[in-house]
Amino acid sequence: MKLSVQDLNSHYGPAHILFDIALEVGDGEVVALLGRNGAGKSTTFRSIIGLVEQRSGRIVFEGKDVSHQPTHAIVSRGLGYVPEERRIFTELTVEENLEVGRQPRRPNAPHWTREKLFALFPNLGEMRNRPGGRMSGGEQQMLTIARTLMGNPSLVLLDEPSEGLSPKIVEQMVDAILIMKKEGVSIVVSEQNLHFAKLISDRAYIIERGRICFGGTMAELDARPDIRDAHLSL
Amino acid sequence: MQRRHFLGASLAIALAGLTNTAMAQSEIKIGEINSYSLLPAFTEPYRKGWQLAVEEINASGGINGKKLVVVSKDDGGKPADAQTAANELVSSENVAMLAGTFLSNIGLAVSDFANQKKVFFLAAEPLTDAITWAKGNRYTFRLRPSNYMQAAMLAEAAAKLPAKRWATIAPNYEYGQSAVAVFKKLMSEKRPDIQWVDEQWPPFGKIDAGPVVQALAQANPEAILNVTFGADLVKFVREGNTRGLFKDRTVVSFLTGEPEYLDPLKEETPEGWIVTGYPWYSIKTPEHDAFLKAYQAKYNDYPRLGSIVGYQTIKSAAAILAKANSTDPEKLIAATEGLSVASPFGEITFRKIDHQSTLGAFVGKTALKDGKGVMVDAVYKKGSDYLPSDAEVEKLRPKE
Amino acid sequence: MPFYIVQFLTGLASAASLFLVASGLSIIFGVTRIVNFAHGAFYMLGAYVAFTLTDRFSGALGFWGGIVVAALIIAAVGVLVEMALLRRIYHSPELFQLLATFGLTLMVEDLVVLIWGPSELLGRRAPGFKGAVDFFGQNIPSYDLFLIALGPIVLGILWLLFQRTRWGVLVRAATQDRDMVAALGVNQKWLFTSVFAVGVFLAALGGALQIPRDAVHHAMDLRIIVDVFVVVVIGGLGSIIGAFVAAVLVSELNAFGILIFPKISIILVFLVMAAVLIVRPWGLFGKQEGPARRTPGLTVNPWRTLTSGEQLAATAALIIAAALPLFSGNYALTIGSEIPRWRACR
Ligand SMILES: Nc1ncnc2c1ncn2[C@@H]1O[C@H](COP(=O)(O)OP(=O)(O)OP(=O)(O)O)[C@@H](O)[C@H]1O
Ligand SMILES: [Mg+2]
Repeated sequence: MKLSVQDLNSHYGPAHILFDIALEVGDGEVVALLGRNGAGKSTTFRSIIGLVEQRSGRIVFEGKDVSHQPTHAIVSRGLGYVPEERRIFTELTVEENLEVGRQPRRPNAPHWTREKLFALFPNLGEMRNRPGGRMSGGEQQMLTIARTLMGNPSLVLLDEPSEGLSPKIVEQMVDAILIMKKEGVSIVVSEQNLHFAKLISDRAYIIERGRICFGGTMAELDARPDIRDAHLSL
Repeated sequence: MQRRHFLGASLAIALAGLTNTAMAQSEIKIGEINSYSLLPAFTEPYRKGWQLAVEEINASGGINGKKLVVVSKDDGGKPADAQTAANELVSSENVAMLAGTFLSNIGLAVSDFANQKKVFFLAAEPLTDAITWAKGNRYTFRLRPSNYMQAAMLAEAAAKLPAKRWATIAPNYEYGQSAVAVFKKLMSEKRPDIQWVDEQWPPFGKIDAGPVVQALAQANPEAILNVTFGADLVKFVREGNTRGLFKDRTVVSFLTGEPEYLDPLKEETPEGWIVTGYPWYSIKTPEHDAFLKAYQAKYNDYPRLGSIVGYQTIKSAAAILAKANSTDPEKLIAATEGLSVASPFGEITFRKIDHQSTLGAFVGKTALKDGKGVMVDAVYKKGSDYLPSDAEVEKLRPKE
Repeated sequence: MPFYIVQFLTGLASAASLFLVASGLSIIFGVTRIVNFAHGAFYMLGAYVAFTLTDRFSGALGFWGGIVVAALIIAAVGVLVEMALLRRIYHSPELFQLLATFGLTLMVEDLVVLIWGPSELLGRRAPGFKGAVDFFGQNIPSYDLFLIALGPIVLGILWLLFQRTRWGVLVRAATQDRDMVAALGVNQKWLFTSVFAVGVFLAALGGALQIPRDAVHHAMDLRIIVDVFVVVVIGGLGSIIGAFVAAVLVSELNAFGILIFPKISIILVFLVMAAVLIVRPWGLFGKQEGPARRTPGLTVNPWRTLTSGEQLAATAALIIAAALPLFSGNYALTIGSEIPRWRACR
């Protein structure tokens, strides 16, 4: 088991957002977290790496309970996070952005070098010295994934990687995620785009108003159009 | 939890305050204000001076049998804070009189307060002439020789110099402006041939010495009048030494012979400056010997001019209170006008005409001895010899 | 003409220390968003400690070593201050941060008078830079020439540090988005501490380098901090090159201002600052401040409650303070009673 989340509850101030979230990710698995706008996908990710202060529950990563660790400690165990807003360092060049993400090599995770990442995202290789602020949305999305991979994570939380991208870039993104999977990175990807999720995922959870209301393989989800229609706006 | 401790501490302080009021019947209080935190180089020895005086006075029976207590406040170098402190001293401490202050602008602020609230004020140090003349008032007296008096002492020596081209440098506030103006006036009277070729007005405490020295050198004066003191003086002297400003030039300088300003200069002390000051090591009079001995015995340190000022302020105040035998301001004024008191520099008198004391100053030259600055050829100049005629003073002081 | 050149060079020399201190303030602000009013206090401490060290150890090594070691010692003090005080107030309102660092300044002022006495101290002259160089009949101190060279050298070193090292990249990243840096596995605490240490080192070095030309005294801090704020405002908070240009600008305005308006030269600087603020409100080299990127949900109490050990220590300190009247003289009492009040009345 790569990651196991149990009884996760989160608040923003007085607002209770997540209710008893439970989810599991196996080694090398790609799991989709599906849900409508505002369902709580991003909050789940932020809670897992400790960016939401008011949270309770148990988060076990690679057999270690990390629920009470600060963000940087959780992340440097090999749990990578790619935020939805991308949060590129606009003043820093592509190479410098990658440098911020760099972490030591990990025995149980694939090792990424700059060159390997430039092979994965060829666009980036052509703009190594360009400041992050002068890149297109698609390029920034690639950079933010590459930056997280520089930390040699064994698991990556990918928050809506296809959001706002052109179909052509989405295709590139699918390829990249499949390569990551092949290299052995476990992935949790949040999506509203069921089509995109189907291309990459082994299993899926559906979240609705802060509660998990479905968990199963992609085939099981396909077999339940009622659930799909009730909880996903397609 | 912490609050409770604060409560305890404040209770203790309040208790101490209560015992104070219980004793108040047998005490006389003087409210003292000075720039303790801003100018410790002067005010620390000053504090020691007045503490010695309080000790001596109380050891010999106090003031007509009452114990003398000095309540001291810090004005932080700000006129407004000094007025606040004065107000507190008068209204909540019930002091019989106010005393102290160092900076001229603060002295004037407290003097103004004294005039409005009809409180007796003995200004210790502020040198501006305004405090006894242009802005003089009934309630304010001053101990130290004024700018005019020190300028007159210095001008006497300066006028004998061959130099015709003069430049001035002074801190840009009341004291510096007043000192330069009166020195220029006195010099021009004695020597109409003199030319004033440059003036520098660095902000007090913030001199940018390099450019200032360079500008002075560029004007190529034959002599320079300096009014800066403290840290400004140190920077000015260092830059001046490095850039050769003082080579073949005479410098006439206010206050530089006072240990608080001369001692920090150490081996960089420029030689041959004509200065006012306090050569405690070469004064051989019985009055001064007694003071020096008592001071060194109590503090194991030598006195600075501040020590003299602090000591004499409280000694004078005590004499005033004893003679008036009352704390009524009018009676205090009446007692002070014309009062003669002993001082480490000999007897001094508080003049009736302008409320200035006749305390004098030493004039001499700076020299370097064993890597330290000293004053040599120092002569005591009596204050009474360096004041304008009574007729002139009448004109300077506003009518009451 | 030589006079104006020498006047210009003199201005450049004054700019060097100003630049060091201002760049330190700027760096600290950039990452921690703290306006560190205590920066002047570190400048002053640098000068005092350098005075003591250079006085104790003779020779050229004693002097230059003393300067550097003094800056290092004060940087270490800065680390302690950051860990004990600033870490608790990073998320407090600015006014609170200003008050806390201002309080620290007042305590340091009292402390230096207690330790080093009330008189001005005369630091040693720099070995090898004691005299002046003749420049077409005008004298320019050789130490000034040293300072003139030092300014750009420090600027260059800082540039390399920020552009060419991993630490510099992390600092620049944190300046823009601290939480994202943490979400990439970097421990911000140590990043902040190290940034603070570098900033304090620069301030202390700026102070230590003044001892051959200045008087070491207890009001140096407030004197420099005003100039430094002016420099940082003109140059743009967070910009090192801005700090350099503005330090030169301010020093030259001073150097030439006294020739034209000897009585109001100081006002000139403020006029220029006002003009800059009107044309470029964020300073010559500053960038318009975007809304600070914060991660939703991360709220921190201004006062982290003290741990039981810390409560114990605080209580002990209070008890000692309360017991002071019992065993100490009058003088310690006055000082002691003023310290907890942080002399709010100043
Ligand atoms: N900073 C915040 N403060 C208060 N409430 C918030 C905050 N951020 C998000 N929320 C609320 O929390 C709920 C979950 O938001 P979240 O961003 O996790 O949804 P999401 O599933 O990621 O949606 P999207 O698909 O739009 O990204 C929403 O109702 C949202 O309004
Ligand atoms: Mg989201």
